[in-house]
This record gives sequence, C-alpha cells and structure tokens, in this order.
Amino acid sequence: MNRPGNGLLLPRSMSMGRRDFLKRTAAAGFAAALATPAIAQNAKIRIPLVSWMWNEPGRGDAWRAMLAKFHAEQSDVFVEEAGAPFNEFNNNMLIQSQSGKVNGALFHTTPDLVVRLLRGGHLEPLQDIVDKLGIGDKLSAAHDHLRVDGKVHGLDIVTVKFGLLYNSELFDKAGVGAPSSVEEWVQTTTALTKAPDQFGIYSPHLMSEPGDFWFILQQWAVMFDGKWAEGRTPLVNSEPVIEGLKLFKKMYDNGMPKGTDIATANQMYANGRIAQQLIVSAAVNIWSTTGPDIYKSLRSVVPPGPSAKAITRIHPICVNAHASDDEKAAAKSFVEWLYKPENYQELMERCLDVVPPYPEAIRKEYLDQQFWADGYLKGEAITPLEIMGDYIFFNQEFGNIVMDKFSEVLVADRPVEDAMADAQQNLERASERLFDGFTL
Amino acid sequence: MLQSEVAEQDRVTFTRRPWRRRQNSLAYTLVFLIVAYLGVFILFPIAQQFLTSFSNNVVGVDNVTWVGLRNYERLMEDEDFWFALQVTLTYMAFVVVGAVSLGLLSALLLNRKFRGRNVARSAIAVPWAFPEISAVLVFIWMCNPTFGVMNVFARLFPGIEQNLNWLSDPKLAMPLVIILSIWKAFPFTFLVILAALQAIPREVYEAAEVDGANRLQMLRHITIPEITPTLLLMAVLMSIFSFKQFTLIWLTTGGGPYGGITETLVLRIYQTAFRFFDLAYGATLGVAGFVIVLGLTLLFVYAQQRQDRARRS
Repeated sequence: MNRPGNGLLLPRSMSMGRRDFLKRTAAAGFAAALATPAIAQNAKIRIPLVSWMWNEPGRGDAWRAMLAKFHAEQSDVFVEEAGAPFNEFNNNMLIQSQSGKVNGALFHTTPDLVVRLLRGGHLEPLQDIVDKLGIGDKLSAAHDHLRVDGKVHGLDIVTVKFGLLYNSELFDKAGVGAPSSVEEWVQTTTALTKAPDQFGIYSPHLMSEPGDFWFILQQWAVMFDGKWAEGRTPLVNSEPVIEGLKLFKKMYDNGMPKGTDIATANQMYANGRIAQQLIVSAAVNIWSTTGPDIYKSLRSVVPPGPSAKAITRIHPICVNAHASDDEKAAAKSFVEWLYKPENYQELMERCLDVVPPYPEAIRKEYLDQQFWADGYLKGEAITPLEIMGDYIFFNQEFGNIVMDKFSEVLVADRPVEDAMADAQQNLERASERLFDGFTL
Repeated sequence: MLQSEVAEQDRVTFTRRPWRRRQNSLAYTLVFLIVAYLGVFILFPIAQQFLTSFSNNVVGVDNVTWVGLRNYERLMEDEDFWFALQVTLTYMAFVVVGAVSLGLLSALLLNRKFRGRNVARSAIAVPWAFPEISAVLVFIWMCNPTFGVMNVFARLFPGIEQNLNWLSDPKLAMPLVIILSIWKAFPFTFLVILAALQAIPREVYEAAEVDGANRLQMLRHITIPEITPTLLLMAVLMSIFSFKQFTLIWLTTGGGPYGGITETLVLRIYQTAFRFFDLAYGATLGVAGFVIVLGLTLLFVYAQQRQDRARRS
C-alpha cells in the first residue's frame, strides 16, 4: 500500500518516514561505531596529534606506524591524526593562537612557530618527562630556546639540517667531484649544466612559492657566515649576505632551470635532470619513496661556503597548555613513550632522519648505513634564531621584502648591492611598525 | 451578502485560523533561519572586520587596543596600497573589456546556424568549467622557460632567439595573467550573451530585412540595443569577479615577478593578514576593497534601474 502524500508512489517498503530514517541512522551509527578499531573503543581518552606530517610521503607513514605501535602497547590513550598540509599549518596555528587558544592536546611545530606559541603561553612544560627519562643534560643545544625558567617546553621530533644533496651518478658522468669551495662549486655546476636536458643546480626562486624561496634563500647567506638580522637591526646589505646572494645569482644564470616551479624541479631531480639541490636532510625521505632510482645515487656535502655552517631547525612536539588535565596527562604519556630510546630510534629509522635529539636516540649501525648523510652530519649547526634576531617573529614579512628586491636581481639584472640597499631601507621602515607594541 | 453566506465565511475564517498560524510560524521560522545565517556568516564577519580595522590586532602584539583611524591614515600614506589599487584597476579594465568583447564576438558567431554549432558551443564553455588550479598548473607548464610550448611558438617569430622567461618577465607577467583570466572568464559572458541574443524576436530582423537593412545596420540598430542590459550586467559582474580574483594571480605569479607588478588588492589583503599576520591593517585593506565592490554593486543597481525606467517610458 502506498503511503499517502509521498508523491513518488513508492511501495511502503521502499519509502522512508521520519521514524524509519531515525531508526536507520541510529543503526548505521551503531554499525560504524562497531567498525572502528577496538582499541579506540577501549581507550579511556582520545587525543588529537595536530601535524602537517600526515600529508608527507614517507614521514606520514612512519608516524602512523609509531601510533599503531603505541596503541598496541597500551589501551588507555588513543592518539588521532589531525592537522593541515604544511603550507596552511603555520597560518592555522598562528591564527588560533591569536584567538587565545590552539586546538589539539598534542601538536608538532616548526622553529618559527614554536617561539610564538611559547611566547603566547600555549605550551605545557615537559621537563618532568625529560627528568624521568634522565636525558636532561643530553638534549641537543637546539632545545635551549624552548626553556623557560630552566624547563623545556617542547621536544624535538625531527631536526632538519641544510646540506648540498647531489646526484653522484651525474657527477661521475661529468667527471667532477663534490665541491669543497665556492669557486669549485661554480665550476662544477657549470660543467654539469647542459640546458635544456640537464641543469647543474636548483633552488626555488619564484614569488609564487614564497615559503620555499625564503626558507632556502636564508642558507645562501649563512654559507658566508651571514646573518639576516641581529636583534631588531636588519643586516641584508651586510657583506656576507651580499656575497651569498651574488653566488645565488651566478648559479641562477649558469646552472638553474629559470622560472621552474618546485614540483617540476623535483620531478626533474628525480629523473636525473638536475644534479644538485641545497636542501634539508628531511627531504631525502621523500626521494627514498618517490624516486627510488635516484635515491641510491644521492650523496651530500657540507654547503660549500667559507663558513661550513648549516641552518639547523628543530621541530618540537608540544603539549597544549589549554588542554584538560586528563588530556595533558595522556599527551605526556605518549611523548614519554616516544622519547624512550628504543621508540625514538625506530621513529628516526622509519623517517630516515640522521640528527638525534640526544645521543642514544640513534643507532650507530643505522647511521653507518646512511650513505647520503655525510654532509648533513658534518655541517656546523646554526639555528634560525641566531640568523634572524627578533625578526624570527616576523620571518615571512622580512622574507617577502628581501625576496621582492632579490627578484629584481634575478629577472631584471639589478646589482645585488642596490637591491639590498633598498631592502634594508624598507626593513628599517617596517621594523618601526612591526615592533610597535611588541614585547619579548 | 446574505446573512447565511456571511456566517459561512466567518466559520471558514475561524476554522482556517490555526492553519494560518501554523503557516505564519513556518514563514517566520524560515525567515529567521535566513536572517540568522546572514547575521552569523555575512554581517558578523563584516562588522568584525570593521572593528578590527580600528585596532592594533597584529599576531604577536599582546594588548589589542582601539587605535582610532590610525590604520586608515596608514592606508592613505601607503604607496603599496595605491600601487595595488592601480594594478587592480588595470587588471579589471583589461579583463572586463576582454571577456565581454570576446564573449560578444563568440556569441554572435555561434548564434548563426552552421554544422557542428552545438559542439562548438559546448567546446567554448570548457574553460569556464575547468577547475582554476588545474588550469593554472597547465598554464605554468606551458610558460616554463625551458620546456614550455609557448617558447616553441615564440621562437618562430623573427628576433626571438632565446627562450622567453614568461611569468618572470616584468613586461610579460601582467599581460599573461590577463590573458589567462580572460580565457577563463569569457565562456560565462558568451553563454549569457548568447541567451540574450536568442531572446530577440526573429520578426524584428525580418522587418528590418524587408526595410532593406544590411547585417551591420541590424547589428548596430537591433542587436546591440536589445542586449545592452545584458552587456551592462556582464560588465559589472566581470568587474566584481576580476576584482575578487585571487587563485589565478596567486598561483601564476604570486604578485611578482617583483615590485608587486601583478599584486592586486585581494593579494595584498591576503599577504598582509595571513602571511604577515597584520590582521588590523589587513582588515583595513579589506574595508577599502569592500567599499569598492559596494560602489560597483550600487553602480549596477543604478544602471539597472535606469534601464528599467527607460524601458517603461
């Protein structure tokens, strides 16, 4: 019999009234609940781990494996994936921070972000974990800026360090060796360039990709022992910075696929059409999963400038100070578990990382097998805080002013000195506004 | 009216009252939902933006305070803002003229009867249906100075011996962004103008033909006047669309290659608020943009009213 007024003249068995709908929805919900992992059902508390890493090839899978191991070993705490891709992650967190509270009981951070969150009072001290594990005096010096009153407020989960990552097969074919000085590097790069089939080097240089452009550009000045700012004084027209940018321009003219975006360049690198990149150690994990052919040919050397310095960034895991006590305790139990040597070693090996937060966190046998890691291990570490001064809080705006002027050098052949003199003036003008009402 | 009829009417009114009450409450509920939606998602953010523009809300500044008109004073003195406005107006002018002209031309051509007309009409609408991000990625690849197909064609021209650095060339970046924007936008104007052309009664043309009018005269004295309201609407809509355009410009040039050559006001707002975290000044730029779009909308309303009055008279 047809239900009056349903308009479709469906048999009663096929039509759905409000009660039917509610019943079926409830049944579906119950079935879905049954389908979720039993471990999540049994867990006393579920906490999100907010990160950009879930979207990264290799690293995301490594973290999923670590969570699975954690869940298998205990059933009190269930850690869930949450977050956004890297490009949006920092912005999301900063905007949340400005509103007074950030989401998630646990989150990964970047060097720039963590200082802002620390300053905003969003981070819970983790010193009790460090004391319990007895690693207080072994933690890398990069953790020093995360201490307030002697208590550390974040623990490193990946240290990324700059190095010159090159394709040894292309070097062998061209009959050149790894460069150890700037002059050698320029010659090597020129020798490796046979445009349009092969290019000696790539470094991001498009204003449409400002995040990566600035991230890597900073290292070019550091190779000459340059600092971009000290305290509130910009130093973009200082000699080491100028030297670094002149070198970039020389490489751009002689060895780069001009105007090429990062995705295309990465594909070219994976196909053996780009010989070198000045890039951080964490990127190697991407090649191991997306470019297995090139991976075996990868080698690294210290960025070949006179300083032998390499920007080193720690990415800490932090516990949210605004979370409930139960959530904080659950989050800390995960961090404590993760920081045990046997677990941290596994994390490093799954992520293909080579710079440990404390000596026991890496196995020597594993490190010896990383044929590509030599240059990353030898470079002298320098942190973003040391090269950016107080502008670490305004890193992107600082970078934008520099990149805008430096782009004139790249595409309009303006002398580096002139462009950086303008950038210096712009930054000095901007600093009055940026630091107005800003207290450290 | 007979007494019995009056009594019957009263009875009917009486019996209908609860139904009416129910109907009224349903209407109020529906209106309330729309008003609540507008209030929460449109009016509140606009009000919040206005309020923020009178504060010093910058990520990192601890005490957010009322600063009066300070951000607006900064706006007036900000060379970058005026330059971005100039870039925006230039971009808008070219996109509006380009998209409407190309839309008109295509609509006139495809309004004629020929074999394969339906296929041609569908094909011309493809750029509009194509997702913006995919379109930009293909375009960037075409413009790649090393591998891009654009250089294959460019080098056929005498005097061009080296590959052009298309999107990084300060002289070429803006024209390319404009061309991409027109390519993406004109199918919309084409479809709307085509619909307007088809609404012109055939008899008018037949009468003009009998009177000895040639095709050009028919275009000038019949077609164009008949579709003028549509052209006006398209011009205003294209102005608003191009003013708001973000994705195409951001992904192709990011406002560069340098000096903000392709940085429109919308890009400037995004950079200020979400890359430099100067929320207050970003909101101030947003208010300036809001005023401009409001002006365009009012212009459209005025033009439409004028058209209506002219038609009525």
